Amino acid sequence: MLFNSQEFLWLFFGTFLLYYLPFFSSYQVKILILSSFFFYAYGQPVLLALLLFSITMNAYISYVIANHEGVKRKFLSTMGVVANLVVIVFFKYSGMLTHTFGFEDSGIGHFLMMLPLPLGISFFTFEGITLVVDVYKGHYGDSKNFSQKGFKDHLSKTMLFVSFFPHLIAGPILKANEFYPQIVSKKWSGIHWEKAFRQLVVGYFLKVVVADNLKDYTYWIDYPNFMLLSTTSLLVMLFGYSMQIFSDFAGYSLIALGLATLFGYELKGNFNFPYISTSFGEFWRRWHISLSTFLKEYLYFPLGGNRKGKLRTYFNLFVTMFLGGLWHGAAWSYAVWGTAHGLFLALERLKNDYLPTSKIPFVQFMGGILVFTGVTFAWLLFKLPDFSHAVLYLQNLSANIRFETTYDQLKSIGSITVYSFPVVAYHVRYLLCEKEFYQKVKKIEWVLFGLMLLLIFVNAGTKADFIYFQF
Amino acid sequence: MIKKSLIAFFLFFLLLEGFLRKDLLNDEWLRSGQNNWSINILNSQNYLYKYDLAHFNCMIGSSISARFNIVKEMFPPEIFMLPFNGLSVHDGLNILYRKERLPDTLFVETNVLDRPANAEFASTIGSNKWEEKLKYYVSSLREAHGPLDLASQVTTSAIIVFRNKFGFLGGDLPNKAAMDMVREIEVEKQNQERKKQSQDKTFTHKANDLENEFWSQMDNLHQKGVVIVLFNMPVDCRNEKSETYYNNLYAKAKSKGFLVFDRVHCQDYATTDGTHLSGKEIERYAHFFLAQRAKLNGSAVLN
Repeated sequence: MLFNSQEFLWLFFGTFLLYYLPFFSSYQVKILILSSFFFYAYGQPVLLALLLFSITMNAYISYVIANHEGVKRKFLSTMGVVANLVVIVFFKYSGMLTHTFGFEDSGIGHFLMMLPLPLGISFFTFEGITLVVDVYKGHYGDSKNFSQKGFKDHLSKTMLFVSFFPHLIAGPILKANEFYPQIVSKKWSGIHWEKAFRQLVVGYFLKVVVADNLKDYTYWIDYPNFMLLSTTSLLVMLFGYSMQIFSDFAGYSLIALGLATLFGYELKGNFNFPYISTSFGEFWRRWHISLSTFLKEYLYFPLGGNRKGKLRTYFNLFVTMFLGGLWHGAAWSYAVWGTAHGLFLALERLKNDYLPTSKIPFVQFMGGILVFTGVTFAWLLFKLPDFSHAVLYLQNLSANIRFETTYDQLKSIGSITVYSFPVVAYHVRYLLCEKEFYQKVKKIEWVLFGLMLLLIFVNAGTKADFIYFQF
Repeated sequence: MIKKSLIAFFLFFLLLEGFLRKDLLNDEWLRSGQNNWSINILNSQNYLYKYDLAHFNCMIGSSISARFNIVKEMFPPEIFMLPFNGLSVHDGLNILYRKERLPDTLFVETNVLDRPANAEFASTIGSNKWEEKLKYYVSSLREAHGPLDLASQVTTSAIIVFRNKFGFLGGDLPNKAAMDMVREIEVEKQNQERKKQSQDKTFTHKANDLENEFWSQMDNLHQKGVVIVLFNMPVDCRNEKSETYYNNLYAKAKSKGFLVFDRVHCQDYATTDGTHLSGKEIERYAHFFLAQRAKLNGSAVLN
């Protein structure tokens, strides 16, 4: 169910009204859980069983961990993490592994290749891991609450934590210790309307006006269309795709945050103006923050982080990003994408170990250009998951050096320029936020919000899935 | 802040609606769809909300007959072209029923009867009567009226001026080898899709259901006084359905009182990819089409 579909709007308004009716105030959690299950099951009802299995498993394991002490806790938490990994590997990667090892034609191979990819599996299994690990580490707060309030209460909280519909399918990845304390009775008077309004307007604008319109022009990147394009177009398309993927995902995340705000929950921001980053490290602190935080805390740190020497640090960065890449999709090209980022980060760390980071504005600006170029070229593997097609795209960059002559291609360049402008302006705004000029403009920002609202209604592109749904 | 934003929104909205109603913004400056999906949507909305002749005819079909749009100027204005790229006659029929008036004559391309209507397309045009009514009365809600597309047109014009001024940037069209390769890949994809469909028993079953639905729709329109004319585009030699299939189809149409254009063989016409007529050939076939129409007009059976 898309956030910009009619069926979602009905579901949302129905849930929202029931949620705040005084008569139903003691059923708020249950109302949200039921709506979330309906939201998830809408497309593929069968897969709800997997979600329920994952929730019950993680609730049970974390409950048992909280009620035990000593060595058994460690064993149980390890088993919990392994069980989550088995679920994700089985449903997400078995097809890829079968293909890699050439078992497609066998009976089992055929079965594995035909397995459906449950929506949001990468998100809800990771949340299961955070729950198990947080309870084990005692980050949950007072674990004794579990035994006092009983398993039923914990199960219902876990159901809401994992299935809460604003974030269920494409994040942000929540952390148990940040979400559970928020599960309390909510009041209509407690809604932070302005915050929700800002998040929803900017989110929908980025998704339906910017991303959905850009996709109508960046489709030329698909194989074999790109073979007819000139270098100019190939570069502009790539730039447009970089803007599209940001507005698509950041838009989704903002909508998720806005919806959660309306239900009285505060989710952490997932994006923080990533394209102004002047280093790859900074980029990953600003892009898909919930995933990079997860990878840092649950993978990079356990691997030793930067505490085991320089070489080991480079290796850890590399491995973390390789696995982070694979998390995005069941294709080796995603691993290559992650590896490329791992390489960028390791090289950057190596440079920083011997050369101090320059504070000269020009050097920082060039660093920003370098990071944006590296990140943008790496997105090519998202658009063209077949590695050979991506290589062919790069070859065409140098083979077709010319300017476009056809009107359609010139129109694509013109449209990409126009629809990318809001993303550029969004980032420039961040750079100017300290300036006096910006403070003056901020006073009339309602004009801008009025304009964004107008464009959401009259200039939306054709509906499309969120790019991150596939992960 | 929310109140002020909403007031600004309503003011902008009224301003845009005013501009559109007074025809101060030329349609061609606004969204000129580039990909097939956008073109189909714009075409449908033009048919539903703008096309308003006292007597009119309509053509429905797939991308095969959508090639007629290349030579649109050859057709009289009373024939509205409603064949859709990537879709089929079933989508066209859905659009026909949304307009309050039915056409006097309906030209139906019969090459693709086994492709179901696209639900997403139908919902984009309007998923319920209310949405359709709203789009009918409020021009700015139609997909064809995006203000940012006006900005795109201006930017594109600026790029063209820039390119023309700095002639050294002007280059060649994509080289022929690349174009041939892309075409071959597309043909191969289509062939694989067809192969998959022919092996799929449920597909054959669905295709039969779709054909039955097609006939019942044609009967319905015929009963409502629409003159039905079937025609078959001369393409798809490699995957052409058997002669018997078309003979049966046309015999059935005649028995129901529908009209049919003479069939011409695909070997007599050149295509770009096996399925779509080339620019010159679509012009030649358009002459043939109009001659057939004139023949029927001469016998006074067409409106």
